[in-house]
Amino acid sequence: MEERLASGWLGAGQQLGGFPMQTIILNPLWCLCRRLAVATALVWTVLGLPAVAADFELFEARIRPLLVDRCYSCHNAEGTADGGLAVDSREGLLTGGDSGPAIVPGDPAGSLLLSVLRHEVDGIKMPKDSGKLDDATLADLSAWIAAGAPDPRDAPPSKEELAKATSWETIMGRRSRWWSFQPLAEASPPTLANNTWSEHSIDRFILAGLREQGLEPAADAAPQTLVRRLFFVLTGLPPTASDFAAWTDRVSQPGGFEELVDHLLASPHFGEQWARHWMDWIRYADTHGSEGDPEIVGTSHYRDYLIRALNADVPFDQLLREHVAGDLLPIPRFNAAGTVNESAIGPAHFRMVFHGYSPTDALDEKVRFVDDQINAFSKAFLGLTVSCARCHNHKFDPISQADYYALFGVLGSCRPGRLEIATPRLQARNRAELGALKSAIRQQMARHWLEALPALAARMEATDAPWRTAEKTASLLHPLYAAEKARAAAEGKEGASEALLVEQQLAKWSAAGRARSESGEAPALVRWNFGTGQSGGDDAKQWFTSGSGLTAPADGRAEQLNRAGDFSVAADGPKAVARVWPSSVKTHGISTKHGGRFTSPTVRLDKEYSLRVLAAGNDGATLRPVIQNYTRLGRIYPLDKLTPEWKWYAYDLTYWVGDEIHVELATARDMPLPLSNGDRSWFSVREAVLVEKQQPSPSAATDEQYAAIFAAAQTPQPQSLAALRACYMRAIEGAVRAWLEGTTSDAQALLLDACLAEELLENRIDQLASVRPLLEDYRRLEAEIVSSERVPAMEESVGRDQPLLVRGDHKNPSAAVPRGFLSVIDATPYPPGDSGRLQLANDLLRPDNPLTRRVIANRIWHHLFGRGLASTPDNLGHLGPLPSHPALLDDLARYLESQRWSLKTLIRHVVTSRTWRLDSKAGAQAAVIDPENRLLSHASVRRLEAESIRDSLLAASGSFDPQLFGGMQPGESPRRSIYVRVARNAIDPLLRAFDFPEPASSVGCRDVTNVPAQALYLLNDKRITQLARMWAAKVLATESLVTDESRLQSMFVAAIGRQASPEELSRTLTLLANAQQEAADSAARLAAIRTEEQQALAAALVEQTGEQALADPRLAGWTEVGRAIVLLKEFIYLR
Amino acid sequence: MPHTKISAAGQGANTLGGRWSRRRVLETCSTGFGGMALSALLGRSARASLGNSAPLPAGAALRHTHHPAKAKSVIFCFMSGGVSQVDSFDPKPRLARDDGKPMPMKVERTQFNDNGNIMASPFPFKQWGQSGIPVSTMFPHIAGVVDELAIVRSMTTTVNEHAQGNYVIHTGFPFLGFPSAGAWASYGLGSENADMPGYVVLQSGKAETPHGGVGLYSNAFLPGQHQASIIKADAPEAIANIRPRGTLEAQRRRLDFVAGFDRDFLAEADRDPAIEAAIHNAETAFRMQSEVPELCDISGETEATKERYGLNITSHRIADYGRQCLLARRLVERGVRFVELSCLRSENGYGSANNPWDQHKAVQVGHTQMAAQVDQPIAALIADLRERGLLDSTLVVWAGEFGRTPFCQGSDGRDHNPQGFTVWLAGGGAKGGTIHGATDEFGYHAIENVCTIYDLWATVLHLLGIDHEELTYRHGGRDYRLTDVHGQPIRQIIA
Repeated sequence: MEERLASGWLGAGQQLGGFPMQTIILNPLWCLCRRLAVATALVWTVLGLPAVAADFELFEARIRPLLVDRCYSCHNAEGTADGGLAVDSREGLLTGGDSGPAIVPGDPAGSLLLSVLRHEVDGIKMPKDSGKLDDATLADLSAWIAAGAPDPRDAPPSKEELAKATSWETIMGRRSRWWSFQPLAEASPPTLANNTWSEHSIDRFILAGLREQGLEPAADAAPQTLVRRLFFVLTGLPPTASDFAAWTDRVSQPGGFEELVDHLLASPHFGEQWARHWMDWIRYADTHGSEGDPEIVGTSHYRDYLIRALNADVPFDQLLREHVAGDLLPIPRFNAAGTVNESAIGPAHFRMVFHGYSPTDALDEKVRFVDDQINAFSKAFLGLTVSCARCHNHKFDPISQADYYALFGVLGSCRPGRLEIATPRLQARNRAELGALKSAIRQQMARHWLEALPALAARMEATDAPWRTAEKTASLLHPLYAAEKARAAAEGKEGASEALLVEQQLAKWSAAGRARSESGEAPALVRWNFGTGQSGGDDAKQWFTSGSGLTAPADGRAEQLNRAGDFSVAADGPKAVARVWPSSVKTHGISTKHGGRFTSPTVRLDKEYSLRVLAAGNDGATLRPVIQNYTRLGRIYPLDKLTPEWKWYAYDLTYWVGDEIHVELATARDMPLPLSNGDRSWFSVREAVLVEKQQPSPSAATDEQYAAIFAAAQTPQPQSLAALRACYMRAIEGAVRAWLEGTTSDAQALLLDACLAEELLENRIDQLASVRPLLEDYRRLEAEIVSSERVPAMEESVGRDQPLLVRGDHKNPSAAVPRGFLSVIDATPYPPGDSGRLQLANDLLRPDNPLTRRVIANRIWHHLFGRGLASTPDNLGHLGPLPSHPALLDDLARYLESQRWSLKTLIRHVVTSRTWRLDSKAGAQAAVIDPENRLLSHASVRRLEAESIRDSLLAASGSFDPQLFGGMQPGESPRRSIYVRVARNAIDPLLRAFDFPEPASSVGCRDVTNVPAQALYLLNDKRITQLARMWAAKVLATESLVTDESRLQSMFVAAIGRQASPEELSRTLTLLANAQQEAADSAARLAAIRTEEQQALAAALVEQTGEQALADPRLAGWTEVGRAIVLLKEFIYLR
Repeated sequence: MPHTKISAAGQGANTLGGRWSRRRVLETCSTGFGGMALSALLGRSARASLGNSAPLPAGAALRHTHHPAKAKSVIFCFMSGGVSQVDSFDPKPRLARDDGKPMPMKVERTQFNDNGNIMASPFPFKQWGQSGIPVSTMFPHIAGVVDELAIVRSMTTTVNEHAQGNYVIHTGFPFLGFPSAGAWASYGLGSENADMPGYVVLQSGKAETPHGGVGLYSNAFLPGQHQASIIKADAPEAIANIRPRGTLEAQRRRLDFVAGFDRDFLAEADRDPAIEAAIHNAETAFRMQSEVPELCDISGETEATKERYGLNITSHRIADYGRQCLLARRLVERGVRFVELSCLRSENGYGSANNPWDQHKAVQVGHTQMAAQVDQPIAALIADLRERGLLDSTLVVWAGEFGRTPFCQGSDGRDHNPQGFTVWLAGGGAKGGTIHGATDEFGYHAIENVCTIYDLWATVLHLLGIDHEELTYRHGGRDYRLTDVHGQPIRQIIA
């Protein structure tokens, strides 16, 4: 197939504007037939091949490229002649190899080469390691042999020639001549003589194609057919009876059809219909699949984003940029209210990957899910099967294995993340005011505390002093309690003086301090300290932050918030200050409604390490080592829910030696796969370290709260318990003063925090008259903060080039491939820095990349006509058939761009063509000449898509809930099918029966199958009876419908968009009468049976006929009519 | 427009299904339980027939088998959760000798990472039959038909977790989106019975779909009629919506009414073949309403048969599984290509309903109960098929998604072991009484004649008369096959 282009396409490509191409390649089957029939010259001449000696044309056009591409590398005269066969010269083929001559000129049947390529010879299947050649190519070969195998190759190529001929550059150069890689043709629509049919540019392309084959367009479709067709194609919903009444006549009036088009393009249901198409392209799913099939929380935001964007006619280029790098756009797009950053939602589709459950080989999983991303993305927007190049250069298209890993580097550099989609303005709401209030609160609180210190000192000496009951060892006052106990126990004993007890306590504190500093020096792979005290907070800058609680607001206060002594204000309850913090990275300096994700750089575990993290948090905040970006959990993928007290969390990472990990802390809704949905959540982290596994555990995190007291006890050293208590008081006073002055140390912050916890410092609002107004202001402003919605996201870290994996084996990495785009478009590597997603988005849209434009134009056409101009919308590469009307396709692609990428404008352009409005009846000629209707002489009959069938059932029966947007719905919901949950392990059975695609890969063209499950559903499902009964009740209750005839007609119109003929009406009346009679008979029989107390019989009758039918035979009759109407093929087919 | 030319266009169902006018193709199609086989025809592998291969029914992708088939049907006894090889068909005396000692070799990553020391099998082995093949006390009944079994002790798989393992053994790929082996068999060979599906999954009692969901039974990109029909062997509604609501007469009247409209619509729609097929399809559905209950009605089976399959045993799990086995025979008798059976959860083992063999704890208790559930029914199925002359044309495949570790998990469980485990085949051209391949002396790694899941399916397809490399389907720019780019038939176990 390949070389139909190699020399052929260039010539033809130049003629795209002139359009003869479109009819020649009309149909690959025809091409084949013709080629077989005429052997050589005729077709190629028409194709416009460059002049080659006629005898060798077929060889040059088809055979040489085949031999070079698929055979030369193993069968050449230059050193590699497997089986003794060299096919790089005429002589080589004729002489053959160990098994005899490869070809016998004039005798295809006797030519071994052909038999081998046809896989007719056991044990030899050529070409090696790839599928059999397609039949067209084999037919070429056969035709060539039959024609005497004319072959101009007198001698084999030289070594250099061979190397050049078989090099990837040569192959790629040849393959890049394939039609879809050519620039968009600048073709004007053909000018046709005697064209009284239509001047619409689309129609001129189509009519030219028809005339070429001696065909004429069919008649125009009837108005009612058009109304129904237009409603379904543009909105996915049937016209209601009133739509039908309003539009059927109007569409026949001048301008009436266009008016309906505009009406439907403006319908909110337009966005739903086209969002669902888009969701097919990117394999939309609500769950990850595999064991557990967990929800990908937030997918419905993406779905609603698509609906909104398509309804708002956001330009396609913008939407595409958003899909690849919406979170990185310098000027993001906000919704009209200015509350939602729409652009940031776009990349969510990258997260709709299939995830295995707790895989033991995490790298394998990563390589697979990045492959999933590449696969869906490249098919959806480039119409190329880039994933085929994972293990080797693409077998058919100009995509090298390196190209695959260049893209892999871009997507693989991104971490699965989550993103707040509130606009920055909303995220910053009241921040500055709250920050200022905090300063004021601090001043007031500190002054109050200082004034209250004498009272505290007195309390410490009182008989009910708080330390007398401080039994818990973690308590700040516990040492006083323990010493007092020891003193009392030792009363009267020798050598148990208070001085000794105090000394012992000081020794303990001293040892704890030593242990702290020693564990800070244990051998480690990497050590991050987020305290400003020791390394100035620089370590935090190595990590990656996202979320409103961590990203710096405009006034640069974030770092200040990380300083020791920062505090959080209680958002409710009797307390004023919630906590005082040592220097740390935290999310809730202002509010616990702010979220955050804090992730470390990626680290490769070269040996056995233990991860230790000093952190606190609550309400679903989590900490975990992330192995190879895997988002799910499992025994070997541990996670901790953080608790409010400071604690060292530890993870033995022995299992993951050799793997890459990073550390992640996240508030409840900010894990890539969140476990809880609380609006208020926070975390705070001081240190993270990967220590060698054997190192001892660090001391308890609570030890440090005594450090300030220990410091206060150095000079003079206390000799009595009273003196020790005085040290406590000195330390507390020092801490409060430092806090007031903004010079708090970590130890002082911890001391203050403990004082608050143990109520040593007054912290109840009712005790704090001077602070109270400030606190109330704070709470009021804090309450106004809205916790943002989150979406699944791709998070930037550092762009890293991906090593090429030899044969796709993740255990066999080779040299790193610079991140970049397909080299057939541009081989320039992406600059260092981030992943390169923004460049990738731009490369998709660059003017010299014709693929993206053709792909979207073809997809739109596909959904409007039921088949694309290129019939494989996901693959415009070599394995996709040639387009039926290439010049038209290019014209549409250009049109889209010229109309500011407005999809609505393109759609309007297409459906207002006369071609789109043709009747479905083919002319006699067309059935013979163009049975596939590729020339579009008439409309092709289509079955409705699964969603439209379900939605039609709801709509016809009047139980349809037209509400837009929102969370996932069960299949039983009266909402449109686009809102029904797409669970990978449990696709809704009704939708699946009607070919709803498995969300595994891009699906541009759905299957349409006939399976009995479809008929069984429509025949017997309980839901159908229910809907039919609702429908019947509604019809019977409609006062404007006074006769049975009018009632029936209303049902026909609702279901099939037309009135029944008199004859049909009479048949339906008979059905109605019979059904009513049967129900009445059954009701009478039931009454009789019940009188005779034959319970079992009665129960059987009720079971069979249904309770409602027995209670209301009239309703039963009408229900039966509804059940029958939805079984009509006309109900699920569109003409 | 002969089919070969269609396939010359290089198109699969995705590009053609329902969109191209297909009238002549359709005229040759059968409609059936399996529905329209149109797309199958379009994707037909074009390899010419070989001399003595058998012609296949309309609707099959292949017109002839590639070589004479031994088996016509496959019954896949899937042991979801993973059976311990060292406790069933692969005796390892070394485990008893080193019981309680640490593994003397590198221990591969396990899913639970709670690896203990070597654990001897609590199940004694004994040699059985003419072949003298050792089988443990777990399977006393299957041991009785051991001479029918071709045992592969060197199976391996690529993943270590249930859902992905299930995908691998069903589809060859460790994730959603690829056709199941049953779908491939149905696609390649069609259905011998136009009113029956090519691929049936049986469930009974509280059996559930294994981890991974119904995607395991998917047609994926193959035409829709090849997806499995799940038949609930003992439910009043064995197939969803198979029970008519209201009387059959009323339904007939409704269908006749509809037929009148549809005839007119068809004429107006230019006799569109897809509409024609949909009309036909409704009639098939109507017939199925009586055929499926008839299939599931085992009242005509003799008491001896029921007894043999364990249907009278008070343990309802054995009876439930036995019912699946009996229905499997009835399905094979009706020409169904591929039947898969579903295990039920054990009474108090540690596996869940989705992976009942998964004894991470108390492997002895759990495996005892699970083995009891399937042992008598499967042995009965093999013997019954043999007596009815069906075993030669019916291939029984017994396998889990992986095996279990020879060392313990915790104190008395076993974790997943993909490095080496046992599967077996019986009937259908498999060489009974053979053992192929071997694991190391701990039963940990396959070391001799190492086999892959691809080899297993290449063997099954071979016995069905199919060259696994030649049954392909073009999708997404590639020719896919059940065995991806791997696999070869295990010749040593082919009779």
